[in-house]
Amino acid sequence: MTPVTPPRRYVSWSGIKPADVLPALTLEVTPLTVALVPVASWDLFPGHHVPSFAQRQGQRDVYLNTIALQGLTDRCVMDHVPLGAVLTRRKFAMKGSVHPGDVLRGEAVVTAVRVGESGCAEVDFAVTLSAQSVLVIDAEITVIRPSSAHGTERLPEMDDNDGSTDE
Amino acid sequence: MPDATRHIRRTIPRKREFVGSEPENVRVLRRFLDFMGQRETVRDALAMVAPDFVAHEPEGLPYSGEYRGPDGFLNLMKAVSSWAVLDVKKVTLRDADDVVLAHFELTVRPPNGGESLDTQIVELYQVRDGMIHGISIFYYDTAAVAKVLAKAESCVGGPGTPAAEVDMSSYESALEYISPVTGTYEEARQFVGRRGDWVQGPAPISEQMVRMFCASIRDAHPGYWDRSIAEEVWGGSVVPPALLQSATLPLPWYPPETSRTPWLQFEVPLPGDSLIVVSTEAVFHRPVLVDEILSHQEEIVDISEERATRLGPGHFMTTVLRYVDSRGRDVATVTSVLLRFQKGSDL
Repeated sequence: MTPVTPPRRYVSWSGIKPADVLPALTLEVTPLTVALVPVASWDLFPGHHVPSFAQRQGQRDVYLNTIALQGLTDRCVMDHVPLGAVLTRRKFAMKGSVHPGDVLRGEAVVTAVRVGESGCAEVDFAVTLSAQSVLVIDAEITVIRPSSAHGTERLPEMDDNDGSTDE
Repeated sequence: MPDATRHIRRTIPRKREFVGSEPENVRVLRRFLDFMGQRETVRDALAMVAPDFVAHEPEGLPYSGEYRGPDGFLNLMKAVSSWAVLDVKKVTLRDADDVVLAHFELTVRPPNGGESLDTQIVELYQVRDGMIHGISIFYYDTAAVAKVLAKAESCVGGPGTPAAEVDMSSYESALEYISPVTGTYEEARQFVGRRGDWVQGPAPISEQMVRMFCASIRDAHPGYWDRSIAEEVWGGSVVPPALLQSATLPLPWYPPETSRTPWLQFEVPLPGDSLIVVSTEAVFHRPVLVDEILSHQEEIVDISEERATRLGPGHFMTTVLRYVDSRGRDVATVTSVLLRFQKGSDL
């Protein structure tokens, strides 16, 4: 079943401005969430599916793996940038763990908009994930707007208005 | 049920004293027994177990029965260690062509304490071409051993659990899957600057894998779900950047003949038996498409001196993983900081 695509914050690149706050992401982490991720990601580290192992590591229960947290971090941005954007960099620091029963909240803010060395439009985001208001992930993400010909891409703001419907 | 983790170290026999001649098969068996005696080298012992391996524990013991193949060998180790602590005092090895006789003088006691028994066990190891094909096990007094162990409460399955039903997903099997090599900081420093072999993913990244991952994190990006859009925008269905690492993760089991290249980060000998990710910085050179098969090469670039952390003292290890596609073109570079530390001190 194809899920309904959530509304994107940006339809075109011209509307992306520094300090823009993207809509927050929320996810209720269930035991199924934690169990599915090792299956899907082939990450069979026992802390993600053996409760006694996780408890020996000082965790209260099995915990969400890094791959899932990276995926959710990416979602905070990729859910809202124009279709076709490519994620080129993710800097990601683990500050805590996420367990079944937690409610994750992801927030992203635009920190820079520029033309990169390759000539492509580049946008930086600061992203945080928190569980019950406790910071668990502190991240930075960069996305680019590649041209179909992989050539030089200028920021839309440098061109004429492209008819963006963004706020 | 008592905590399964408490018996792991105590069940490892003490250093054995080997006497006797040193024909090739004796050397093979000595190496095998050495590997079995250390938790971090159980995988090396397992690699010496032949596919046709058969071991037989005599009737009357809580772990009696027949154990076949490498999986059976692991089950045998877990079954014995869950019911008994075998404190080996002396081992004598004798060569007899394809059979090596091992005579153990040892003390047997239940893992949860209680009466112990000084006894002897003779094991006949079938050794050929550097591999262990079988073990026939003979107790000096099986009934006496069974009596001592009758008070044991198996840390895996509980009293009376048939050995053949030992849970393979237990804590101990989990440890065997991920245990890094342990050693000293000085030994580990020798790994700085070292690059591992290229590791190819066991299979192409499939659309099924992508969709299961997206379902687990509720990711509705059209590049992962709508083939026509993905084809138009990216030239094919896209793999979420977060799944990059999954592209080259090993499977939990392979056919015995399959060669495997270990991750270098698990081969670095450091104090502490646990490894967690602290931070990563990934640079993606291009999107990865479904059905691509990737390879990675790992480099150890730094290992810190011991630092105090909230998880206890440990060493930070920095690695760089370079991912390439099937034509050797760069796909991504991931720099990671990992923490090696010792879990709970009561282990």
